[in-house]
Amino acid sequence: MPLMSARWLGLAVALGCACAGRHELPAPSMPLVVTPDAPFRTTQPAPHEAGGEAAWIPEITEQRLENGLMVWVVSRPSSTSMVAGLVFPDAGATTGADPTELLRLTARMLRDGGTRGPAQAVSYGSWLNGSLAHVEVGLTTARISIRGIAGTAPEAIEILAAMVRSPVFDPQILDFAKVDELIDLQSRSNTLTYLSQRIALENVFGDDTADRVLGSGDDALRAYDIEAVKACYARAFRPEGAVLVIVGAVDPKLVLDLAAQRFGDWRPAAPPPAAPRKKSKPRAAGGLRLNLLGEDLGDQADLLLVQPGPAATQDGLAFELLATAAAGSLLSRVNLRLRHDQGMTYGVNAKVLRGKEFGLFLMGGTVDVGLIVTAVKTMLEILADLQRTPLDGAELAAAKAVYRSRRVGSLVTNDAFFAEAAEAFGRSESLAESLRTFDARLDAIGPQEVLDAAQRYLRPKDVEIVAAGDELAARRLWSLGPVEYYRSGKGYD
Amino acid sequence: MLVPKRLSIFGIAFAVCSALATPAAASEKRDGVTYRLDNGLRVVLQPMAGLPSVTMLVSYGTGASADPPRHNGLAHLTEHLTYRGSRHIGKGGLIPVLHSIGAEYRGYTALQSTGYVTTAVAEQLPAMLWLESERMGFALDGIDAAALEVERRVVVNEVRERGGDVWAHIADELYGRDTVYAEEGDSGRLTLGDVQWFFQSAYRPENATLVLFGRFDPDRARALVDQYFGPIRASGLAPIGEGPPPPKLCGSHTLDVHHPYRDASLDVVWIVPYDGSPEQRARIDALTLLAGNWIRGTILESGFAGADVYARATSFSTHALWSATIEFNAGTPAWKHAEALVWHALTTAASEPISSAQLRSMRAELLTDLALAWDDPSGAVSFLADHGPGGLDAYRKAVESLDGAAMQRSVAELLPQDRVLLARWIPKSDVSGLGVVGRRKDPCR
Repeated sequence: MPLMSARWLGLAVALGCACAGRHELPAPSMPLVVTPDAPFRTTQPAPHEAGGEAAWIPEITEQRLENGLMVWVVSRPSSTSMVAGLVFPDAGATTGADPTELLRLTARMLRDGGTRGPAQAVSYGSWLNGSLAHVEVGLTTARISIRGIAGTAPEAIEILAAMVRSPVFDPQILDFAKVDELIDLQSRSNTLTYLSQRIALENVFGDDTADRVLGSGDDALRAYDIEAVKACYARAFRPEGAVLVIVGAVDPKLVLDLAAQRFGDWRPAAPPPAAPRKKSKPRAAGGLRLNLLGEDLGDQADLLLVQPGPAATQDGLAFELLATAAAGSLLSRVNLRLRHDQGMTYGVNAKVLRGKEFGLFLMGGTVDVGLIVTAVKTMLEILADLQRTPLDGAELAAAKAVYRSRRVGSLVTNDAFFAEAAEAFGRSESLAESLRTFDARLDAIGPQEVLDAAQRYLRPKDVEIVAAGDELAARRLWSLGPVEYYRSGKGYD
Repeated sequence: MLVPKRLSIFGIAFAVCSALATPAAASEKRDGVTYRLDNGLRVVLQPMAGLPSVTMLVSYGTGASADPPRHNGLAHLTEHLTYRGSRHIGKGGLIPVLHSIGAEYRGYTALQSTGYVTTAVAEQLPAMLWLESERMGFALDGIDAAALEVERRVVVNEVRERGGDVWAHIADELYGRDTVYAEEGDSGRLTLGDVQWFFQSAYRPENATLVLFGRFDPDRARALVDQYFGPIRASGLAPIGEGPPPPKLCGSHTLDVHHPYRDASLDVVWIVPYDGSPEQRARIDALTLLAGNWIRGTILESGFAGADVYARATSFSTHALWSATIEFNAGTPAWKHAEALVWHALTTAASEPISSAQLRSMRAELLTDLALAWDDPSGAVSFLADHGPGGLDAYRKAVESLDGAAMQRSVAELLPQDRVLLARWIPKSDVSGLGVVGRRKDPCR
């Protein structure tokens, strides 16, 4: 019997091992680390002399044409490609005299609505080697750009010149452009980010600002006729005050000469007057407001905290560092608390949107719905603390390192340089000067400047909170105060 | 009246772009080198004197497809945990160090690989190499149960956040298992021992490629790579890292995914042969251009104005997935009609003769895409990891020798109607969560 028992026991153990083997992996081998240690590994190595002469600021040539068009050539000889683009400061969503939809529609028509060639022949579509020109209406500028292989800058300049100097505005294309814009608008507006921002902007600044930043409804777009497009073009897409930026493997002298040749005699007639724009009032009177956008996202809720920030015309660098320290990286206070320590989110992001007359500070991410109240409270506490206590040296240094790497560390492509040029132009800065002084301006900001920015702009008791989530999220949020229930397409209940 | 205008715009995609150059500047960039260290680490050095920065990719040839049964999500969780610390960096983790050198960084877990990409100013190359050598050689000293618990929750949040990714469901369908982002997988069951075993089996020098792209002195960089990575030893465990075998399509497969608020879309997916060579990559890219243009044009001209159409190829070591995605943007389409348009487009692409002007413009477009990809360091390191420095020339030559008739044959042979996966993204307001699988048809089962 003992033998029998032992055999049965052995079988049971064997079966047990076999079953467990399907669920368990082999053990790791020991020791866990087999690489021999060495003294050089114990400390972070110092920077070395990399050799070569490349600086992160490439050679930038500037020239203003007589008609007021600025030309910036950013020479990056090692590049295999180039970008050429026009930046119009009077065609931005918050800088233009015209509504955002009309600016977008006009920019699209400049690209798609036909151009007249030398022999009066009309051609459609602005392509360079299969790459379609890109049009974009940002907060402070509108941009029309085209990318191509190195050596195609002359062709790109020709295409740009044809677009903005000889547009046909074919009425038959207008309906298609509207459809494309409508679909873009519907596509954009069919996202939680859009809806959350819309709710927050309407409440904080009013409908007009929300319309400027995000675009208004379909009806406004449908109403524009070709004359409205032409008038918008005449007002907003003009040489004076605009800049032509060419980045990449280009010969500066060649492209400057060509730019002068193709754009120098562009002298449009005086712009027609624009209709005055309405100014609407904020929906909310202030205070902490909780809005629930009813969406069943399963176990997660999408969270967005919004409050005003500095406008593009104000010096916002200290505030940018503040936002970075708050939630701008995985090392930021919010992410250290919510992600690194507790794992309750994949990550929270901070964003500063700066328009001509207003700015917006947004913090958001998705969080475990069961922990939504903890997340909101933590974020508000962090904002309040940032107003009370200056950042310590290490935290400020980390925020500067992150901000610097985002701004100039990403300047490794022609597209990034073009975007940086457009941003600088939107702030009425020269690209060369902006890049040359960047480090000094960053260095000049100490803990007190960041604290000043926090005290001037942060409003931890006056934040618009938008949560997208289900009934469970709603019930939990009630513990923070009254929740307003917003339904997509229907507004507030 | 209006439709012909649209047709003319589509036509111009071929017509206007026919005249221009090949990437002459690319010829200045061929002084790269590929070699292996004694421990098996493959190293690709591509100096680019004109850049202020260096971009580094360390790619391990093991990804989510190596997750053992009932351990789905292990590769992804391990990727996260390798940021948590190492023997010499300590529990503070790699991220503060990355920020301290002003680096831009990201990690990713793909089906067949796991990668870490870092860009910093050129002077910080020693610190970049030190960091990645810490990850490869000493990360297990920085991963403990507490870190596992927190990072498990981070991953679950990430997976839920990305539940809207239809490609996760497509990969799930094709490869027969949860992949990285489709579901939460087995994350609740994964143990510290599992992570340690996986790390030892996958994060090994002979299973890795290190690529440097940017401003550095090649001799100095080589010495630094030797110093930091040369002594790294692999564990005694057997390596894992085989890529996913080519999936099998037995007929017309369908997969419906419901989502509460996203627009309707259709993904049409084929399995195509791919041997990893730049020549074959060029041929697949040409296929993407030809078939993608016809699908795009046909869809836009057939009542789906405003639809976005993307064609792309995703490559693995043994095969590639070729797909066209149609995002309808304006309501739910009649699916059969949309599918019929795709078949019609492909039939036309395979039969409509390609003129020499069209062929020239396609070559120019492919070379432009190559130049643009090469100009973006994150694209360049990926290309270099796959093909090495010589891949640029080989790709260019392959593009220049493209043959229209052969391209058309490949449309007919590689994109058949009777061996395909059709994945439909269907808006449905009453589903809970982002991306819920509905009806599916698998003729192989």
